[in-house]
Amino acid sequence: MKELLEICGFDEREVRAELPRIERAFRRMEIERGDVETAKLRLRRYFELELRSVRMMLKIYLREMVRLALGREEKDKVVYSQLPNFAGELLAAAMAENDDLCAGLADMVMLLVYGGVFQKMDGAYEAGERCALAPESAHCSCNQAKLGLLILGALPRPDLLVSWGIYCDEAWKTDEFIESYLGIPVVCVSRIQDTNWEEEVTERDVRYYAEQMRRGSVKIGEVAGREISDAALWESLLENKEYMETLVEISQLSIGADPVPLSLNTRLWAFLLCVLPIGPEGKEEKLNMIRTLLDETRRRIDRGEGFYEKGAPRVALGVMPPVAEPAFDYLLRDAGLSVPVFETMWWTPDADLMPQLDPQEADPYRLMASMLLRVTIVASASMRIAALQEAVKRFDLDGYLGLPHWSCRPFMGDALMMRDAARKMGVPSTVIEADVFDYRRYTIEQQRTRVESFADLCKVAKMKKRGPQKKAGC
Amino acid sequence: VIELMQRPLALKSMKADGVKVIGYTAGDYVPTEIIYAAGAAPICLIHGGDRYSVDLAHSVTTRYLCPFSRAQIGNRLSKDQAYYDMLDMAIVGITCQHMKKVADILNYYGDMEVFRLGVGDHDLDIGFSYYLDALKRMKLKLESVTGSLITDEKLRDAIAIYNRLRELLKNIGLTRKTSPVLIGTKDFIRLNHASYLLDPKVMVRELECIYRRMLQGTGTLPDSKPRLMLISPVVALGDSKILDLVEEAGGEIVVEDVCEGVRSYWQNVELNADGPLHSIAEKYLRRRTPCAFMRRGSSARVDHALRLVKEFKVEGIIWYQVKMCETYDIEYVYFGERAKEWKVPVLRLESEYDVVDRGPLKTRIESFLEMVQRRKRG
Repeated sequence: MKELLEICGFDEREVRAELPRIERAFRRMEIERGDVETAKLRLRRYFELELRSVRMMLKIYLREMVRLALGREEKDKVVYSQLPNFAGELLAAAMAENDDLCAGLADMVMLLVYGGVFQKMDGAYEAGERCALAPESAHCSCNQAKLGLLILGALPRPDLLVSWGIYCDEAWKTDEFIESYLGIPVVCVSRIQDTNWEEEVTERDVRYYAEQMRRGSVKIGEVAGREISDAALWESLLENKEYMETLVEISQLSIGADPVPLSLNTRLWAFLLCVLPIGPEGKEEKLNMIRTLLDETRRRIDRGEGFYEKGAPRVALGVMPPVAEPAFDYLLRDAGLSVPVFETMWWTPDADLMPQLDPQEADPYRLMASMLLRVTIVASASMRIAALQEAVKRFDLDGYLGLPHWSCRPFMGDALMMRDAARKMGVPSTVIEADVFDYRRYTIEQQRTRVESFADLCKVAKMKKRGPQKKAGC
Repeated sequence: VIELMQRPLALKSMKADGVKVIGYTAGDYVPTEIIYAAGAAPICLIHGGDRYSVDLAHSVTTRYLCPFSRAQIGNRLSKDQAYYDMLDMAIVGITCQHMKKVADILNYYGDMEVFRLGVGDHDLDIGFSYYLDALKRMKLKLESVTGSLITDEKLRDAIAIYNRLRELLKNIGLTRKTSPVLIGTKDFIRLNHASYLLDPKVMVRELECIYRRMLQGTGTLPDSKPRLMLISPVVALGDSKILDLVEEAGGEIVVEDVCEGVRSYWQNVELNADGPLHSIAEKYLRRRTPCAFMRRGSSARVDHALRLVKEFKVEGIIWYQVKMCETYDIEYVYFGERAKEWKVPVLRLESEYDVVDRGPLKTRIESFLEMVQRRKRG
């Protein structure tokens, strides 16, 4: 255990101070010695442990999982939100206002750490499948995991679930089921996805979404005991702004460098930290981590080092790498590809790395709504397509690899349009069905042939793009 | 039947005279009154059940949309389906993700304007305002497409016609409360499908005639058959497999709770002081049983189902869902539990509009009906 914590960047003093609490949480989650060995192996194999920032990041995530697992023991009230929520600031503000509140994006943390590192999610997926979300009906494994974790008690049952009906029907429908089956109160934040093809983010969409978030916020305040003030929300948004700006700088450096300096896993975990509401005690650490990552990225670029091979075809991954299976990144590298950017990193409709927002906006809920409606997967299909086509040009891509989550109706509904849109830009594109949240399906070896074939296409396309090369001596 | 056979030709000639043909998605969230008041011909996108249109859609989308949605895409792409081929515009109610993707794919690959009608939360004031605003935008859009102003007077006339249509369907449906039933479910659903395609005035005339004749009749179906209820997200025009199998096995569906394919005829538009559009929004969003895609709609749906079970003396429930419909699939779990409390057996069936599942479905339906019959005999 001590070794695991050291891998995750804990120093000796921290190990001493935190070990009893971590062990308590592990007991609750039934993490045993064998699981710790698995975690050590996977961390060494799939994470850039040579980077100090990565170890710092792992520490933050591990602490976050422990905090959530012990939420009921340590705090009076527990509130969870979950994917496809990206408004972590709301929960962060709630915690800032209420000392005795444990709030977090439970499913995301558990999928990344409990699943991706410890590979302990099998029981949760199966419990979710057995209870309501049968595998043959193509239910989302993220929701199976959420339901299963609550049934098994790996996480304490919350006092409120903040559900997000902004993107798919599966998430909020599962939450309503959880409400009736487990008796956990739910408040659903909805939006209406009626943006017409020629429209961009509409005022009606922003207004409705902002109102719904405000409704959710009131409910969180009622449960937590104290309402979330606009001032606290602004503070939370501003705190995240610095993190986000540094992350964008890292992204820009990664996109501009050859070889691409950082692995997808590093960038995905750093990206998701941006939307995770972590406990108040971890805020400073989070900022230190991202600053360190920026320094280390610069150093790698200066030294001409990278995670991927120099000169490898530059491919964008849509929508994002598998959350619960870090091995996929290594498959891409082994196939001779490099991934300077994944789709969730850019914003619609111009593939900017920072969203274009009204600097005069005085309402934090409207600001959040405007921002979240520009996330590629949340935006309309036409905006998503426009952003992809812009990204191909802007980031000088050699291919687009669609990796849609197989049971996600919106992802899969868009998949062939996205492939076609990329091809129209003259780059190879393919769709490989994946399960982004469940490592049991679509194993790496199943994906290998498909990825390798696609890599061959990209290599040919890249050579063609470079034009005929003169042979030496001619 | 004759009216239906002649409808495509009639529409073609109307189109030649400048009348616009407006397609709209099923589910009764797109008020046809507004389309009709614009002087256009409303045509519901209700065809499905065949494998051909589903397979055709696979060139542009994946198998993870429900077969009914895929059929809508395939029907438009095929150019073989007369109604779909003559559309000037489609109005897509933003109900479930599947319908939203139909709109996106028709936009991306199609050659037709698509208007998305946002459906707000049924139980929130902001949801109602949103829906009302969406109806206003839909009205403006229709005015620009048809070149015809939609006045309050035209809307009131359209409301009167559709109210009568719904009332007649309801009256016809209600005759099945007692045995022997005067009309079988297949015919009743056919009437609903016809009402989505024919001119409402013609449909009202036909329904008046049918209803009159029904009241004079004595019933043609024996009363020993098990009385069943059908719950389904969609029964498409062309998807009669389950209905055929139930009929063949000796069952009688006496009432339906179907989101897409049977009209929401239980309530009518009641004109209020806020104007016809407001009245329409009230009926279509608030004064109805919400479909499974609607947030916080499950308990209202379950209560509605229970009421029908009691009123129609239902002895068994056929829960028929299409593959990949995640909302009905999740909802079934607690619906099944509630049905156990009511002591009504439920048979869950699923279809991908495939011919190969006919055999297994037949066996399951026969076994279920045998069990219901045995319970009936005590």
